[in-house]
Amino acid sequence: MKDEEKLYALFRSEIDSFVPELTKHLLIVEKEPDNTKSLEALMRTAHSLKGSAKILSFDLMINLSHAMEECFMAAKRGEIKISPELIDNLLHAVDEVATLNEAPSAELPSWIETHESSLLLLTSQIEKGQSELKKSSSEAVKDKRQGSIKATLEEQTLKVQAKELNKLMGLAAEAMVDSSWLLPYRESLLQLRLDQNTLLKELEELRAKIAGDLAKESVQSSVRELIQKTDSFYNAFNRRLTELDLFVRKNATLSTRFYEEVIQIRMCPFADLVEPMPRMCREIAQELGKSVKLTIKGKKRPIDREIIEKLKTPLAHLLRNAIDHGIESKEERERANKPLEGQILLEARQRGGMVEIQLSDDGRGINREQLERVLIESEVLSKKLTETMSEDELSQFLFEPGLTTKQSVSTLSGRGFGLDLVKESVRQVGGHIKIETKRGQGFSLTLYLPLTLSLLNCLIIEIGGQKVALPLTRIARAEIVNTKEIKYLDNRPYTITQKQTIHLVDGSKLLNFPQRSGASSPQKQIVVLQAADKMFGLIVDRLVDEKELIVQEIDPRLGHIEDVLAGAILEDGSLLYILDVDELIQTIERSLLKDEKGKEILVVDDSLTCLETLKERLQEEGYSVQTAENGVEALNMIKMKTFDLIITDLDMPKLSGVELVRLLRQSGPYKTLPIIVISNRERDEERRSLLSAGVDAYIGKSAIHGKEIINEVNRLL
Amino acid sequence: MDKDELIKGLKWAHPLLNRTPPPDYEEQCGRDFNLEQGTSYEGFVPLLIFRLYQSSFAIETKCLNKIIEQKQVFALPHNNNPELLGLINFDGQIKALFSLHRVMQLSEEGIDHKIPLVDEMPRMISLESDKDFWIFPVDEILGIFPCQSDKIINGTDDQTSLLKGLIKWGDYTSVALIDEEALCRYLRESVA
Repeated sequence: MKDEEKLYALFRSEIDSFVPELTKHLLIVEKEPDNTKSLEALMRTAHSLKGSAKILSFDLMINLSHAMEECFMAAKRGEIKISPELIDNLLHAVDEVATLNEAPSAELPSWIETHESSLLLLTSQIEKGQSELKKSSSEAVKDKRQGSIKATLEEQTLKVQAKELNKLMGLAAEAMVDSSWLLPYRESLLQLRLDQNTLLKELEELRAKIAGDLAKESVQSSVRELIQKTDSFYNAFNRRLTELDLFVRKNATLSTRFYEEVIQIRMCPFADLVEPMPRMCREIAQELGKSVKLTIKGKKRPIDREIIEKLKTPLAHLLRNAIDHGIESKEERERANKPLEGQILLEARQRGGMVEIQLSDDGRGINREQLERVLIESEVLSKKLTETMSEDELSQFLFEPGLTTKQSVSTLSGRGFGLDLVKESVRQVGGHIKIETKRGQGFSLTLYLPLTLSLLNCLIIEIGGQKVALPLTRIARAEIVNTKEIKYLDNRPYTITQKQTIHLVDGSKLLNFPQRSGASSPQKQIVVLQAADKMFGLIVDRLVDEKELIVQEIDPRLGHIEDVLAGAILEDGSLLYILDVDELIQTIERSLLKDEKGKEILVVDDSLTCLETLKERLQEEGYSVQTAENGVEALNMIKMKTFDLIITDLDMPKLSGVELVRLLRQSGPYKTLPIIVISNRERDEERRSLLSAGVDAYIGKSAIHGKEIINEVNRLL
Repeated sequence: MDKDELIKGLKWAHPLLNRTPPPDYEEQCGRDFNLEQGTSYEGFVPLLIFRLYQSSFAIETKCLNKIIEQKQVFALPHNNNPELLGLINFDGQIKALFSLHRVMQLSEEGIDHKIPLVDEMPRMISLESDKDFWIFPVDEILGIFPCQSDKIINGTDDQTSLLKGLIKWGDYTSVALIDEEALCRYLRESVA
């Protein structure tokens, strides 16, 4: 990298810290114009920005930052009180500075060219605004001494790539895993010490035995020497063992601390997530003509950096919703005898092993009738069902894709998407959402999130001979089911335990793991997973352990692996997958739906009577049937959808059955697709020629009412 | 590059095999490859030669990251990619393991998997490309040897080929020299 590029990269990284600092303090000064601390922070930051721009000889930026600095200094000296209009211009200036970071390094000259006029305009607006305010505040105390700006030593920060941090995490975890090997090793040495002690005792016994005998003095002396040597070995071994003991303890503490420190690096304060919120709230409220106060609590609460990254957009969306949908207009609030200023509370707190982020407002809450109407109109729920549901239960449907109760679409919200994406983002980090609402009194939405994505309490199970883990919080229970208690409905197994119907699914089939052969057991181990209104029993080989797993990223080149949340490495170095329960439930539901629909058969015939007869007969057997009236229609359908079997007539318009068979057999994917021909031409010669052309069975049309056709279908499927 | 430098280069790569070079390695090397003192060996490249089923392959040692002992492979759920064998624990990271046998479209016909093909030191090799590792099991590591680059017989002009050409080595009349860049590119695309 050239020197100039290095300086530019450095400048950009500084802007990353300047922009939030300026924004934060400008919003404070807007509410508290005399807040000395914030004015000092603004002066410092504008000064630093000017200094950095000087290094790059970036004149436009020098002038802008100088104007900002002058403005803050004047306010600090009490010469002016920064007006809301000036705050607007200053915030626009900060936005303009921030756009520099969106431009690629190579495009700096073109960025300057594009932004020249706006930077000049903003500089002059700030200077003008400041001088106007100076005039109007002539009565202000002029000689207010400027307090000495104490350069506070801010905590230095260092930018580290997430990838590098993950590597460090992996190494720290590996070090901790490796150190745990020492403990069993120490145990084995302790056993060795016991064995040595036994040997010593046996030697003592031998000495006692031969002492009375007329054994030679030399033998007795040898035994004595042996005892002495063994004793001294025992003592030496003991000393070494004590040293090892000390090392094991020290190592365990160090590696655990090392890991914990690395985990801490992953943590960021909640403040990082909510930093842009006050300004966003101000602007949205301004645009909507509403008066809103946003209070943020728990800013110091540490949250996993990755969770913060994933929640930035969803949380901004929720705030927009709260201001747009939740908080009423000033007039509406007045009518409802509420304070004119709407209140929004954004709070982070820790409960047990989870972090809760709650966004609540004192707005209008959810309009039950309106929501019911939308749900019924969108055919999500029936009228009868909505009547039986509580307000909170109905509110859960706000997460349905495409659902909105807002009657008009604005630039802010009401497009009917967003909440489903919020739910998805929360799900991706292993959390869930709860809504509470009281009509006319407010709305509260709580995100329940794991404290860190690095550790997860899991149940380790074995499926298809391979270990996998399920997050404990997502498991309803684990139990053993006698095969006698397994019942079948439409060939689908289920059982009833604790008065609940549990649909059973084979774990190894579901995950496409290699099937293990072996005698079927009279009992099945199941892990019960709860979906919204159903219970699924995942049949597993066995339960292995319950453990806090160090979550590790799976080779990112593979992208998302269906049903897998993350990976983990056990103490013995073996891997396991941590399954994504929500996705797993979706896979189970899909697999059940597929089973329910049965095999798909396409019947092709230009005779509607024949089509209907066959359709009815096959459906009675549990097959799913689609029909086509000629070969062309059939060919198009086959290209669009996968069928398990084709039954076709021979004589049809547009494309005959013979042509259809020929085309299918030419094409790779359909070479092995079972095909049955039904025809009025029942001559042996024709039958033979079709069978040799790749048709699997040939049946006379007169036989479609008989058992032969069903037998052939069953045989081929 | 003179004889000593070339042998030094070969010795450098040797620890990757987890084998100590035999005491007479330098002498043997000089003898096997007719290396003479004072001669220039510019254009010699050290190659790692290994076996997949009954075929032998070579790859330049410059792209080698590591040679490791065989590790337990963990099947991936819903895996439809036959070239992706599963995942392994690679230095504390969970990494994908690929089948070079399948990438090279080697026929499994006549291979009896019950009889271990690996009669000595089964290994996995890890190639490094753009800070990415591509790991494969191999049936046997045959060694690291120098090869004169002008002795490589260009096999094909096919842009999609994963081979640079063929080389002659000892009793093996044709050892396929893998184009490491093309191989890594191919794998990158196959998992994309």
